[in-house]
Amino acid sequence: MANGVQSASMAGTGVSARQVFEQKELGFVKRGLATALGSGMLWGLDGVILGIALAMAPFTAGATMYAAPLAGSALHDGFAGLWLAIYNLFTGRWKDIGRSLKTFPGFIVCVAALLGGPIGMGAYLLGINFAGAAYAMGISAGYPVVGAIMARLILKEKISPRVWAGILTCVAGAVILGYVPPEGGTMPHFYLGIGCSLLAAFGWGTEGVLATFGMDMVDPAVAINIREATSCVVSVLAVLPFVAGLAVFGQALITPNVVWVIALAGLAGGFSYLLWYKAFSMCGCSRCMALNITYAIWGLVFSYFLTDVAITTNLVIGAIVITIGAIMVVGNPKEMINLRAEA
Amino acid sequence: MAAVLPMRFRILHFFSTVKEASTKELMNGLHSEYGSEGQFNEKVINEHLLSMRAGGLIETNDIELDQGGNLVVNYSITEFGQGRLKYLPKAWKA
Repeated sequence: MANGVQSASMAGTGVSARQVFEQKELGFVKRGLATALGSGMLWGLDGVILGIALAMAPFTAGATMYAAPLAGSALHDGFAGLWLAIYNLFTGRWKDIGRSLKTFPGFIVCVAALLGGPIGMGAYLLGINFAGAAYAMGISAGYPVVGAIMARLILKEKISPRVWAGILTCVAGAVILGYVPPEGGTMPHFYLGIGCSLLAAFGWGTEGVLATFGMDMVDPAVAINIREATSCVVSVLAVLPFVAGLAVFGQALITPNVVWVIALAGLAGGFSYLLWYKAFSMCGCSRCMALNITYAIWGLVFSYFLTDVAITTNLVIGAIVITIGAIMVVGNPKEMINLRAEA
Repeated sequence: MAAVLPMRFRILHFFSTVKEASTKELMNGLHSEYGSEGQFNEKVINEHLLSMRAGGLIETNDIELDQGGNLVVNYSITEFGQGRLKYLPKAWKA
């Protein structure tokens, strides 16, 4: 790394041009952290709005337990993709969508979409069915740990012991916050359910790493547009037909009050993802995944005002633990000026 | 003529064809391909450059202030960035 010439200085201030640039870089990292937190906030809002939609007909009457959440998720991603396409149209990026799809990094973003979309979501639902919500939620909340390990291996991201501890603390907070007592009774496919929950954590964690790899060469706004569109199209063509979900999908699409709620959730979700993907390439995907978990806190806040959720002790403890973890992850932004170890 | 690349990929490719370049020189070099698009402005391109630098694809060389007091940063591609060029479509490979 060439350190270059510090020939010019701000008149009379003694501040070199490099110092001015370093301040700019630090500002960029801090903006990245704020972007990641903003993504968590919108994701929390998205979850609450989507929850309201999924409590409405036709989602309450799916033929299988998978039909409603998968159809809702496909519709949500479809709307998110549509809103992002409008965003890209107005910011002059729309031509990059087709261009990206013709390249290898664009293909990798599509693979990330499958892992984070239909595979991650499908595996999570199967996990709940076979092993119960307690185990499925607890295990799949570990996705930032999977993501951090993959980011270390594939992207060579630098992750200090404090950041590792912060990521683990965030995950622990999410587990506490989402805790539900394990159901009694026998679960004949319990270990299959555990496997599916692990697959969900793997899918969600790997999505971020593959997307970050793709975004070395593709604009984040374009990458997330491709991700949402791919997730919707593949869900509709290859997943919903097998879970009797197409009828729910179609019915929701023609029910005006439902479709508008989902469109609104898609708006919050699309822009949450936009901020998330932008943050990946500003301050590293391992940190952003942990910071995104703060959505759970925002979800609580929005639920409190928009629905009638009861604030229980484990929700409060979980929120405090997540906050501590997030502070440990953010720590010293100066560490994030160079994200990767061997780059 | 090879198909137009996504702009960020083309920026990386551009740095493989020059020893170093500032934002202005980069924009002059890419103007004929992306000049008519909304994304082709200094703000967006500087974001790409900061992001690519943080990810280790490019690095900074000389950093100076011009006569107007504006920051002029000269970037060049890193070995790590060169490695990403293997994912270029065939028509773009040297």
